[in-house]
Formats: sequence, C-alpha cells, structure tokens
Amino acid sequence: MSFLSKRFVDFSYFLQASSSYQGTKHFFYSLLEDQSYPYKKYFDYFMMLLILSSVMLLIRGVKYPLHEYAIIYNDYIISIIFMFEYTLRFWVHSSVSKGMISQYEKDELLGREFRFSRAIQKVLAEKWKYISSVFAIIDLLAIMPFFHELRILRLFILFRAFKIFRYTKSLQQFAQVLATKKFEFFTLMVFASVMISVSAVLIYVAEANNENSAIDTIFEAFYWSFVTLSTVGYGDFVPVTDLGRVVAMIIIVSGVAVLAFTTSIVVSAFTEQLDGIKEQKMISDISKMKHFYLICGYSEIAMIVTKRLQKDGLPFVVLEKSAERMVMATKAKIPVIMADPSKQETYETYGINLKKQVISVLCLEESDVKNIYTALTIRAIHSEMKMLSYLHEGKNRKKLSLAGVNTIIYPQELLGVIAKEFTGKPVAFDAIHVLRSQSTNIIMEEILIDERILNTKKTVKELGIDMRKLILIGVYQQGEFLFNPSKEVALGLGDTLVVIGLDIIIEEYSLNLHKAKK
Amino acid sequence: MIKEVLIFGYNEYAKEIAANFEHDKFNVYIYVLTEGDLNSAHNDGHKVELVELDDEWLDIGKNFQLEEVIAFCSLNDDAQNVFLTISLRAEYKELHIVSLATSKDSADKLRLAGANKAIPKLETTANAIVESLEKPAVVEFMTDILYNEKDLKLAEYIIKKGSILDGEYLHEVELHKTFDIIILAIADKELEAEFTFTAQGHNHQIDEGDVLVVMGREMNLEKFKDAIETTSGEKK
Repeated sequence: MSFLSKRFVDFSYFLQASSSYQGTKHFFYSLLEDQSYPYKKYFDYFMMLLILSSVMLLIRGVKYPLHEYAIIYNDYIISIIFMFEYTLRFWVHSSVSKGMISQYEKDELLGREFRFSRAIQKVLAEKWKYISSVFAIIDLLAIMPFFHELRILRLFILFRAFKIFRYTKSLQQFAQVLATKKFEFFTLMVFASVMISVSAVLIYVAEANNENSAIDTIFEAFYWSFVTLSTVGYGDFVPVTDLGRVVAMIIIVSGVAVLAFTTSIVVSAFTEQLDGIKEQKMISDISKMKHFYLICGYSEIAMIVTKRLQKDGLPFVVLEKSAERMVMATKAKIPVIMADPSKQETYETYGINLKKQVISVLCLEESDVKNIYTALTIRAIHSEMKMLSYLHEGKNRKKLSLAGVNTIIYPQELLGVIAKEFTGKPVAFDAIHVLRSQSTNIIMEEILIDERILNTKKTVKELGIDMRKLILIGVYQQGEFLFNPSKEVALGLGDTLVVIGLDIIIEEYSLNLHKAKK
Repeated sequence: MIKEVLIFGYNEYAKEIAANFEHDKFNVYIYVLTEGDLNSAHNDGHKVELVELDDEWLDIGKNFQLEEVIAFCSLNDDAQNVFLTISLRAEYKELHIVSLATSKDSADKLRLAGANKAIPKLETTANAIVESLEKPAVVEFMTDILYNEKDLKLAEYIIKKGSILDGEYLHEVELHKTFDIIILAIADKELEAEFTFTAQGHNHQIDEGDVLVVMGREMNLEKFKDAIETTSGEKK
C-alpha cells in the first residue's frame, strides 16, 4: 500500500471513530434531510423566507432600480447561504470515510492489495448521485446569480422559486403522486406531440403561401397548433383556407380529448395515492406524539373506550386490521392505522416506540385468541409494557395472564359485582356513583407524590389538606392503603393520594403542590 | 331488606350475578326460557324453573314478599329483555327490577319499560377500562371498598329523631374523628338522593331522616353507629 493511500485509510478510521465529527455530521443531516427532526421545520421556514424575498426583489427590479444593499443581499448573502447549504448537502449525502474503510476491509478480507483508485471511484459515484439529482441541480442553478456579471445568469434567480419544492412537503407529495403516472403522461405527450407536429406541417403547407393568412413560418405554424390544441386559441393566427380550417377542426377535437385525458390522469393519480398520503401523514403525526395509549383492535368496546378517551382529551392510537372497521374509525375521526397489531413489523413500519411513547396497551380485539396473540407480540418487544385486555370467555382468563396481561377486564364479572349494589346500601352506592360518573363537579381524584412534591412535603401534615374543602381518603404506600392517615405519616416517592373535592379545588391544590419550591 | 334474588336467563352474566348473591347467602331463583339453560342451571346446583316469556308471572306475587325481592332481567336478546321488564312491571308496581342492556340505547328503552335500573353492558365495561387507565388508585380503592371483603367499608346511617347529631352543622361535627371515620356525604332523604358532599363546602344542617354516608373500618363503624344513635339527652 502506498504511503498516501495508507494515510487516507488511517484518516478515514479516525473520522469514523471521532464522535464530534460524526455528531456534527448527524446534526446537519437531521437539519437538512430528516423529516422527523423537530427543528428541521424552522430551517425550512428560514430558507423559504430567503427564497420569497429573493423572488420579490427580482420582480421589483424589473421596473425600479434596486437599492445597493438589496443587490448585495440578493446576489451575495443569499447566494452564499445557498452555497453553504449545497455544500452541506453534498457532505452529508454519503460518507467518504465509510466508503474507504469498506473497500479497505473488503480487500484485506480477500487478501489482496488495497485498491485506492477503486475506493475513490465508488465514493465519487455515490457523490455523483447527489450532484445529478434534480433537486441538487436546481440548488446549484439557484446559486448562479452570485456571478451576476454574467447578465444571463440573473435569470437563474427563478430557480430559487423552484427551490421552494425542497422545503414544502405538500409540493413534494404532489410531484410524487404525479410521478406514479409517468407512463400515462408519456403516452399523452407522444400523442400531443404527434398531433401538433402533423397539424403544424399541414397548416404550414396550406397557409404559408396564402397572402391573407398570418401564418408564414414553420415556427408560427407550430405555435398556432400548440395554442389551438391546448384549447386556449388566442386568435392572433387564424386559418383562412379550407384545408387549414379542416385541420383546425380536427386539432380542436383532439385538444379537448387531450385536456380531458390529462385531468383524468391527475385525478386518478390522487385517488389512488390518497390512502398512502393519509397514511404517511398519520405516521408523521404519530412520530410527533410523546405519549399515547395504544389500542389494538377497533371492536365494539373499543369504539366506546375511544369515545371516552377523546372526550377526556387523552392521546391514543388505534391499530385495526380490517378495512371495514378502519373506515368506521376514520369516520369517527379517530387516529387509526390499518395494520395488524399482532405482528412485530407493524411497530417498526409505523415507527411506534413501545418503550418511549406508549403509556399502556389495550387489547380490545374481537376474540380472546387474538388478544392473547397480540399480548405476546407486545411482550416480546417490550417485557415491561403495561397491558390491559378485555376477556371474552371466563375460561381464557389464565391464558391471558400467562401472556403477561396486567389488568383483565371481564364484563360478566364486573356486572356481577355491580349487581350486588342494588341490595345493600343504596344511598352509599349512589353517592359513590355520583363521584364516579363525574356528573357533578365533585370528583374523586388521585395525586402522585413525585420528587417535586417530596422536596417540600415530607409528611401528611405538611400536605396542608383542609378537610373541609378537600378530603384525603387515604394514601397508597407500596401497595398498602392507609385509610385516613394520621398527620405524622411520612410520604414516599411513588405514593398516591386519594382525595375527594371540587374539581377546581383539586386542580389548584395539585398545581400548588408542584409549584412550591424549597 | 332484600332476601330473594330472581334472575331471568342463564348466560355468563346471570351466572356471575347468581354466584355473587349465593356467596352472600341470598336465596337465588333462576327462570329460564329453554331446556338447555334449565339443564345447565340445574347442573350448577341452582333453584331453576322453566318459564315462557308471555307468562303472567302470578307465581311471583304468591311466593314472595315483593319488598324482599330483587329481579334481574338478563336475557340475551334486548327485545326479549324489554318485553320481560314491561310484563313484570305491568303485574307488580313495587317490584325492584334491574335489567341488563347491550348498549345505552337499549338501556334507555328498558328504563321506559319500567326497570328501576338498567345497566348498559358495553358502556359500563368501557367506563371501567378508561377509569382503570386514568385513575388506577381510585379504581383500586373503590373496588376494595365496594366489592372486596376488606376491613374498610362504606356505610349509611339514617339520623333518627333526637340523635346526637340531629340539628348539628356538618362542619362542626367532631364525633367521627374519635372513631377514625370519614363523613363522605349526606343525603337529604332516603333514596331521593340529593347529596351534599362534605367536600362541597356547604355547611349543611343535619336533620332527622337525613342519611349519612361514611367510610371507615368495620369495627369503628359499629361504634360510630352506636354513638350517633345515642340521643342527645342520654349518655351511654
């Protein structure tokens, strides 16, 4: 290995291992290319602002002389910023050091001499992919006004307008949707080109030598064909001979057909892609959610549960496999993804991070078999996940708990115990129901003792609960319930207070507990 | 005081209801519409009778004291349940009827048909699910105090004439503190539950006939009960 190539490989390893270099590169990559990076949008807004101001200056410059500073801003400042951006994108597009190392290691493995030129070739090929991409070309042209001495290059400011595409997702989506109909557009273009060419030649033959006709050159003939086919028909060129008029009639009819065909292609492209676009939007929305409940299956019970969660303003996402129920969920304006909750790949595809985002999982599918299968899938991904499941048949209870479900809801059992209420203490039960149903502003609420509260409040006495306005029923301490605790009871991290009071009083009390600083 | 429990239908809900009441030593009678249900209820050791939906239900009036009976309508079909409820109500004005409904809509119909209480199965379950997510500690506490056989209990006491609390103001009562008891609410008159919750802040004057809803340990509750039954003049 030559001295130079050895240096290169050494340096590549150094760069790959350098955390500050990789960190910086990753930061710029996220800022420029990663749609899920939260600060990317601010960068995009900033670039759009530059573009808009530049185009506005171009428009103003047509009729009025621009101020010196405006010219400096437009020709130098913006161009330099764009140049930086272009260079950064070039940098983050692929990794030279990685390419070097991979070639080096491959050659080492095969026991042959390190081929430096081949490595360079591969690295350059990767970079060329960036340079030759449509967006990169537009970026480059948008920098051109920097060389404003070349008057023609001033027009390239217009390319800055095209740059807008890079920063607006919806415009990119629009282009992507149309790109799915490449073949149809191509066919249409061939048809239109043939029609324009044939009719241009015909009209030229028919009219060029006629003194009354305005069409004199083949360019004028093409221009007339184009304007007529597009159904615009300015009327600056009009056929005067019979042959010319026959050609006009044919091209008008084809023009209508071309227009209708174009419209239908665009419409069908959007109808076909609509679901995909919506799904993309949903995925990006979900990735932005910090915490949510994950509901597996949109069954009858799930419909009511989601309605309640919606009413209480709690975040959740539903996974539903069947298209029919998916439509029902969409109609109810519920965040739903059409996916099988019992498949591990679902969580990867839709970027659902069980560990970080999901508070708990609710298995509300149509059958116990499905619930058990889903519960096991979730357990396999995240062993600590909190899970609640609906139990359809009592005999499957054990299986659900074996699958790792923490809370099992069995409606028959639930109603069985509720039924007992109607025999014993009707008034007492009614009082509890009033508290539970939240139909009045008196509620039973829980307050979790966190570090913030513990900083200032160490005992029940320090909580300062006035039993006339707020009743402290008890404290859950390590799974034990201390009813009506005495003032001396010490509080611990993770304890939960159970209180009864007016909702506004509880809210304010809880806020004050957290606010109080040492 | 309820002693007899009549359950109509024999599905999983009915089984759970029956099991709960039998556990608490109530007399449970099951009425079924099919031979199949008759056999399975019989095999499970229940007192069971085969009936028809358009019966006139005259036996109930003959065999039971109506004020000691509670009837649960738990037929699988909502329409049948409505028909059963309305038939029972037509015959017996004072019978306490609780009906199970699939959804809230059917529950409304059952109430119109004369059920004292209609429980929508789906909504009740959904509420339980959401509650257990939002307030797990509250749910655990409520389940314990309402249904589980723990020391902590919910109780209601009617204030009798001359009770030590008669005429007292809610916020001035100190008696419960001696017994480690929490006064949750007070209802103006039995069953027509117009509640004043202690935490609402109104200083309600306690009168004869008011119902006090309290929470505490079983032993303390007993003592508290004895104490409030003491008339203001006498000493125990």
